Amino acid sequence: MNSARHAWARALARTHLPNIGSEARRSGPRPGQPRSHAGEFEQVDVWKDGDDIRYVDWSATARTGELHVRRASGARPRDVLIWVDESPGMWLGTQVSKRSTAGALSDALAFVARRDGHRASWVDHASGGRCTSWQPSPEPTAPLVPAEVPAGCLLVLVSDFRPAHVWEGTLALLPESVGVIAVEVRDRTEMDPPRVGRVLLRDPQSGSTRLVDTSRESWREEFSQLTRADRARIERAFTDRSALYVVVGNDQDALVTLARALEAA
Amino acid sequence: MLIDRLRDTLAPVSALTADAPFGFSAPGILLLLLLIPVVVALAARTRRVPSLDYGAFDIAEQTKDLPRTAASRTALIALALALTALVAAAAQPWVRVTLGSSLSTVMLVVDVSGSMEAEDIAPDRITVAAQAATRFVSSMPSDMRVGLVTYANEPVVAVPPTLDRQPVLEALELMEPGGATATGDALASALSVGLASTGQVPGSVSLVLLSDGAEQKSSIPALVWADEARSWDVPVHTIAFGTDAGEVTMLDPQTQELVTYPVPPDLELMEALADATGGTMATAAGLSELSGVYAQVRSVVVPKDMERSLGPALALLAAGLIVATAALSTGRKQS
Repeated sequence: MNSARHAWARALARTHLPNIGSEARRSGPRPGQPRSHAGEFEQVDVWKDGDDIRYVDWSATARTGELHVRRASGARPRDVLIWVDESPGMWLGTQVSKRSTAGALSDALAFVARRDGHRASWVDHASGGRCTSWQPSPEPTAPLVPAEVPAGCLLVLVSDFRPAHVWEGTLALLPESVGVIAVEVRDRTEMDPPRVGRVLLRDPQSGSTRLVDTSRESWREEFSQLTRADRARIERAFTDRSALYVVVGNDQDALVTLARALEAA
Repeated sequence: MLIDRLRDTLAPVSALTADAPFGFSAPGILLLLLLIPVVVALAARTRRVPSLDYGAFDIAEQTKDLPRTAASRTALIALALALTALVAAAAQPWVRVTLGSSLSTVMLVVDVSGSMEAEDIAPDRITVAAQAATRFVSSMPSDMRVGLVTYANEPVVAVPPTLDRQPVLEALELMEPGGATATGDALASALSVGLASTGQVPGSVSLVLLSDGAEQKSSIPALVWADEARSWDVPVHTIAFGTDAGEVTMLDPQTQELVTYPVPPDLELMEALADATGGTMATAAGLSELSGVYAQVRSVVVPKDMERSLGPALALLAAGLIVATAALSTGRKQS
């Protein structure tokens, strides 16, 4: 885990939230992105934890005796809402729970957002949320996608997005100015069920059950096809909305995978 | 061998009538039935399919739901029935069955030789024999066939086996003594006619032979036919009728003089015939005595209720159910 965290920490320094959403487009450059290399306005600010060492302004540092960095002067602070799925299904996982992975991801995303000067809100349904901008619903059955999001906000969804039909409609109704980053936490057991013979599968949320034979090839093939179709549906729902769709495994590489995806975006 | 045993075991069940009583020789064992629900509950508990909270249930619920209880429930029912059958078999169940008398025939074989004119039994042997036989025939179950063979020099099938008593009673009234005593030929006729009436089913015919003298003029001796009767499981119940004092007076055809002959019953032959065929032998020297003998014969030839054990049948049923339970359980694991 330590090596993974170190890999994430290295990637973190180069990572910024992507410029997604109409509000972000109106504001021009991405928040936190230095403009010196682009030849645009910049401002010098006191160094904060997470600032890239490459953008240290040595002159200001020497002049003031305090570490300073150059920042993009045109960057407009943005509301970033990190919406973490706390539904019962997120408490499951092969080695660690998807909720645990989602927590680590949201921590990192909040750090990047705040480091870049955004106003990040981290909504945790189960605990009532550590929200700094507005109070979310504390109900455990809170929707996977919030129905009301301020215009221009960057919405970061961390979830397994199951089932798709309960949030697709809400996503489509969000204002166009709301940028969306969808981080899917995918557990391998849910993609490839273990061969354990007859087992009574239970919905952690509703308690509904279904008896299946996980060793029967016909069932496995059917399940595989349905899973592929479902994941394709989810990806299409986000890409149609010009959202950034990132799939991370429910494992130690989740942070690195997310960092690289953000960097690539 | 096994099939024969099974058939024998199940035979009383097939003969069970609606009002047949039944019971158990060891009813206390039936208390074990109270444990069966507990055993079945434990079996059901161990057969429970493991459950799993599953994050991708939204996908799984789109697949076909297997019948989760049908096979299990069937197996548990089979198990419960098997245990019930086992306990019931251990309690030694029995059922009282009545073998249908309609399957049986009684052939009455009456000696009408000249010796039956003897008057040692008043008024004479033939009259008393006819009266006692009439009572015997009248007392037979209505669904049991009765036939009559009379014999002297040769046998006469007076009445073939029938459910109608009237022809038999009329034939008994018309019996006239005269001639020799062809006992062997009479047995042959009675055996043949009797078996024909029941479709040659072994053990379905009983012969009741009444004779007052020694065998004469048989083409084949009576004891030979006794062996044949035994091979068909046909008992010959014999009645030695008359007294040692019995005698008849006849005209000697050569001297044209009246000659008196002693006509004692042939006890040895009667006993030998009965012994050879598994029948009974009795002597009678009067109407009341003869009627008593006929009553005893009736109690033997008329089928009676029998208690047959159902234990073997229930044990076989339990074994089959156990096999079925195992097959259902195996099939469930493999599916």
